[in-house]
Amino acid sequence: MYVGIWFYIATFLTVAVLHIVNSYEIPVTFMKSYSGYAGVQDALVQWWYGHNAVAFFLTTPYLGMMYYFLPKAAGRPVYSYRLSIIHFWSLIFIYIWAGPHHLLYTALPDWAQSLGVVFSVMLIAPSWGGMINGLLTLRGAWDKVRTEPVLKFMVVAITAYGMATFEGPMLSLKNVNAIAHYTDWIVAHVHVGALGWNGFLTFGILYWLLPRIFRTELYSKKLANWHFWLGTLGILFYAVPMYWAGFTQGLMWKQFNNEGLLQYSNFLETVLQIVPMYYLRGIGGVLYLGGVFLMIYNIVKTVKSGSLLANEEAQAAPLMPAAVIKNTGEHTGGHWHRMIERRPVQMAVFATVAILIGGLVEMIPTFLVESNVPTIASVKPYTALELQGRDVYIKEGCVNCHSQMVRPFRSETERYGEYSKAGEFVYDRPFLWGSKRTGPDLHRVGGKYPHSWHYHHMLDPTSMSPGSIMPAYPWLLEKDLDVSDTQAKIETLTSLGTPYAPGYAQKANEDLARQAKEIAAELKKENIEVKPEKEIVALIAYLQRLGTDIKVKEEK
Amino acid sequence: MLAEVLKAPGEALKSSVRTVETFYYDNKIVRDFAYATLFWGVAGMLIGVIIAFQLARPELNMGTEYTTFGRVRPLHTNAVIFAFVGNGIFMGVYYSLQRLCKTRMYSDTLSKIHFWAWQLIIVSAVITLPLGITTSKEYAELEWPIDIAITLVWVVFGWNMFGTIIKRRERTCTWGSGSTLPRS
Repeated sequence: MYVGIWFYIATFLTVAVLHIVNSYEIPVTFMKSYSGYAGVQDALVQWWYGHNAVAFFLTTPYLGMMYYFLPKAAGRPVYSYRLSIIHFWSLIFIYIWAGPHHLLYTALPDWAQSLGVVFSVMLIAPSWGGMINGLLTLRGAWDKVRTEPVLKFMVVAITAYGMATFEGPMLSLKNVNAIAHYTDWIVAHVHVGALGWNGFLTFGILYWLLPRIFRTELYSKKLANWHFWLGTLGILFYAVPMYWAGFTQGLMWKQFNNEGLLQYSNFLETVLQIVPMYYLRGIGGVLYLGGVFLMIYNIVKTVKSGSLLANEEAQAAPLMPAAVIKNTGEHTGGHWHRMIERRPVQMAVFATVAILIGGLVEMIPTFLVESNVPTIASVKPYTALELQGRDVYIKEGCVNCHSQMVRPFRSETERYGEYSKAGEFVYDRPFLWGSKRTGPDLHRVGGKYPHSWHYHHMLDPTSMSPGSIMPAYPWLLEKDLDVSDTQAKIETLTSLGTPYAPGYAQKANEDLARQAKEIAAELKKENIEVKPEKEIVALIAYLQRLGTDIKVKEEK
Repeated sequence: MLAEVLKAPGEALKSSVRTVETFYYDNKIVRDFAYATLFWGVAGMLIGVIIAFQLARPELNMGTEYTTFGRVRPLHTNAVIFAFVGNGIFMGVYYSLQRLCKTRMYSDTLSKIHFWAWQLIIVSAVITLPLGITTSKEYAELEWPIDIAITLVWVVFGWNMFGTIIKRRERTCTWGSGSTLPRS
């Protein structure tokens, strides 16, 4: 089998494994479930999945396609068969270990973080193996790149792949990650991959393939060239401001003044600093999208000038049985790898083994060895109201902009409070550590502000933080909390091992109403009239609970 | 026939094995995935541009729960990853696999089920995510019934792909055949 197909097989198998394992969730109602994993373990599984979704949905199938469409478009054979063997097996084996680099300096066990770093750094070799095999395929055909938009798109795609896979290992170094994590640097990184590698390779393939199946020529090479340059400019306008924003904000978060206090103690200051970059990034997106519209016009014109050859005639000799090949000596005496790649089942089995090892080595100890997640006696399950509030937090997607993971840096403990411990998350299904801080971390927000602050802030964030870019959530004040599923939720969590008192599920709504009334009464003292049934009350209950289970020394 | 081949491979090769068969590549499924790639590409990127400006101008959240950044950002990521790139993968695989294996896709019916079921999953994401139905796990936000549907469609894709590989006409699918593909 051709190298492209190895990548297709690895894609199919790995995505299946990732999706099934990470989607282990227990249904509560028709459209609500709780993760089968909690806290640290959920985080590990999620980023094993998340990172390898990048690897096996955005990378391996695209490498497979690169190996088919690039030689076809360039009219040149792939540079090296041996390189393709080495980089295929090392890529799929190493990639699967790298997930923990999304969790550096978090409550994930240190050894798992280190494994993630080591394998992420090694990953540069097989990634660049693929890039080199792609670019060197163009040996002797570089003149065509000047005139052929399809090749231009492909060359920039492969170059973007090379840049993103250089940057990835660099971002996985703990000292770089300490600055870049939670900032727009990561957003820039993924968009170089997405817009450059995935987008441009897709465009190249579309321009190459559609005229062929429609038996015609591309309507306009000139428009395709315009698309290429608009897209390239779009990527630059996207990436450069985001790198700038990420680096600026990451350093501002860490800046101390002469008195040893945070220079920018108000988080908002660090946001307002980068808002101009957000405008520029938006312009980058518009340029890129503009290029896509040019492509669509070009393709509509192309398709109209031809007609689809729905069934394309081809001829080939039937397959010879393996025994015949062995007997005739045909295909033998070649590279030893032919033995594997000739047999799809064998290939699939070897690939499966290669992609299982890393995940198993990281997951089994994290699940089985208790010292990886030291329990903390004072950490208790959420009350019914807090749990419902947490689900409001999930529903509104707060996790997209707020982390709940204070890293053990002085700059973070000064800003947020005590750093987060693994044992604090044992009842979190799913975990909500987040991956981006467009707003501040919320793990220690509990008790930091009065209830009324949250009430006003959700109604209009700028009333509490002038200039805030957080959207307003007025419907939380109007909508009644759906409590029809409270009992089912508590029962599901109990079945997963959350130690609720026996019988709590049955009287959960009673307890919920009691706590809601308390909060409404406290709000009333602050001159805010709110019915205890509203969603905002549950959300406040959750936010005020966050990070308060462990009592650390009193603030000075 | 196999016995004859084994006894006198040279003769057998000349007489039977080299018989050339005529068959047809399915280009319609490639076109369908290509159109879906374009459609969802524009949708996903347009949403991306909108939420990008939301971060600069919060009023672009438009004051409704369905259009707020926290709910729409997962729609953007799911749309560009699973709808744009996903359909792009299937377009590229269905085109290249047939040609590399010198055969039509294993089953036209499976191809069609694959195509429409995948679009249906994307539509279900477009409906559920703005409604706030989410597991909140990044790139795995879709809730459990959709997760099960994804698993089934993926099995259909794998079945169709492995079926095609098994019935290939080129044992090496196709190192060394075709002028532009590589020889070691």
